[in-house]
Amino acid sequence: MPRTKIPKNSKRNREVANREEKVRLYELKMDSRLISIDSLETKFLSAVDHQVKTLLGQVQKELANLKMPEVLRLFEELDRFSDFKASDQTQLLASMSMSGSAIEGHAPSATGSRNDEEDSSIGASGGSILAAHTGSLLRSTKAMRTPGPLHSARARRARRSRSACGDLNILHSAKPPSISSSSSSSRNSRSKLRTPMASRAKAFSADRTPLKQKQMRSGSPTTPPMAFLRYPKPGEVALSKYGSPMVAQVMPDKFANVNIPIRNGVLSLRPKKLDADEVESNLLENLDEDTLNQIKTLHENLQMIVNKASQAVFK
Amino acid sequence: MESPVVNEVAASLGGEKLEVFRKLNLLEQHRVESYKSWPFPETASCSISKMAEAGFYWTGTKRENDTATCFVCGKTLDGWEPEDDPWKEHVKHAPQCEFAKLSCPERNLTVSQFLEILGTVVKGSIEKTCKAFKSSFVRENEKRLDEFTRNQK
Repeated sequence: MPRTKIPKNSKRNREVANREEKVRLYELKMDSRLISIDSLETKFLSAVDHQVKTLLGQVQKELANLKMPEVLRLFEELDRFSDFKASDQTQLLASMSMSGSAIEGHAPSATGSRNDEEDSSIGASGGSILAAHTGSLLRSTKAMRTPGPLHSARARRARRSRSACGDLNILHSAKPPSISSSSSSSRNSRSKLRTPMASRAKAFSADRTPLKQKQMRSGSPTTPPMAFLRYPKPGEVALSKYGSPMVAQVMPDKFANVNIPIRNGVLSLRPKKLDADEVESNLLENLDEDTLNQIKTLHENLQMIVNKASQAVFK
Repeated sequence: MESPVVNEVAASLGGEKLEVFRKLNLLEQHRVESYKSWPFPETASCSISKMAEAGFYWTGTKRENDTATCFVCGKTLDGWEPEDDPWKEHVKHAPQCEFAKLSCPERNLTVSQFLEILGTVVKGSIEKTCKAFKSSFVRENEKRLDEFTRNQK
């Protein structure tokens, strides 16, 4: 009667373990996805910094010191001949092509045609450089808004951004509210209160240990690759788990050795130099494929132990 | 009476080539045009032109039409009074804002200063987009996790 309960418990525990393993894998994938999003954000931010520095470096000093109203008027003169020198025009055109090559994520054809028009215009002025770079910066921002996995969801949101609240989505404030005076006599403009979003706690690294142990155990279900075994002392009785007591008469060796089971017995290797003549082909023919694979695994394990022991001795 | 320079700037802004700035409200004229409903006249200290000069564009609604947001730092302010000075309120509530620190209207900005602000605004937009996407991504996947856990039990 009590034996019938054991299989049910083991089955239930197995299901719980499977579920927990799936949840653990899910959390690992979520963490990796969030990390990739962060790296993408960093990449775009550094691209913006690079483009701004390039633009500041390429723009001439006279143009850099101009006031904005004058520059905005220059925008209107994009189709006219510029007052800049020919060498300056060549330099500006080169910077345009450089900015074009620096952009990642190519723009759609509609925007491409606009770029072609700007490139084809003779005597491009600084205003066109500014417009091209600004367009590229904004296109970089736009490219970020269509990530692969949730493209359909983002497409729906893109439609909502056309409404009056579209600007809110772009530059909505997420900073903590500043302190405003509480006196009622002189009422000051106050900032809207924003609720900070609670950050999700990440899983501890200790939770990942059982997964590793399980992977190790799946390789050898009965015995781990390395185990400290003790030979029975002289006169000590070794009890068997499956029947009557067993008297151990084999004396432990003082030297390292390897016992390889073969079909009709056991091949025992000693730490002596082994010549090719001593290895009889008849014995090796009795080795089966599984035993050969086990020997290869043992060889790798022994090599690892030798390497680490050598390092320890040298230190 | 507007000065001829302002009229010329307004005319040039009508072209399509400057529309790339409108999305992020980088230019003062675009910020002026964003005010659909503002409860104060042009004679007030916080008129539309003065608000736009200080970096604010309209983010209000029919019910709360006195809400405005800075295009650089994203600070949103409401509860304006006719005697409020937009620049002072901006510095008071957002002292870390680069545009408020500059305290320089667009007509006195140089191209270099404008480009610095441009970079700041674009990077802010990128960070905002990433934050919104990550939060929605996590929220959707947590919903799926809850459904999975509920179905398994």
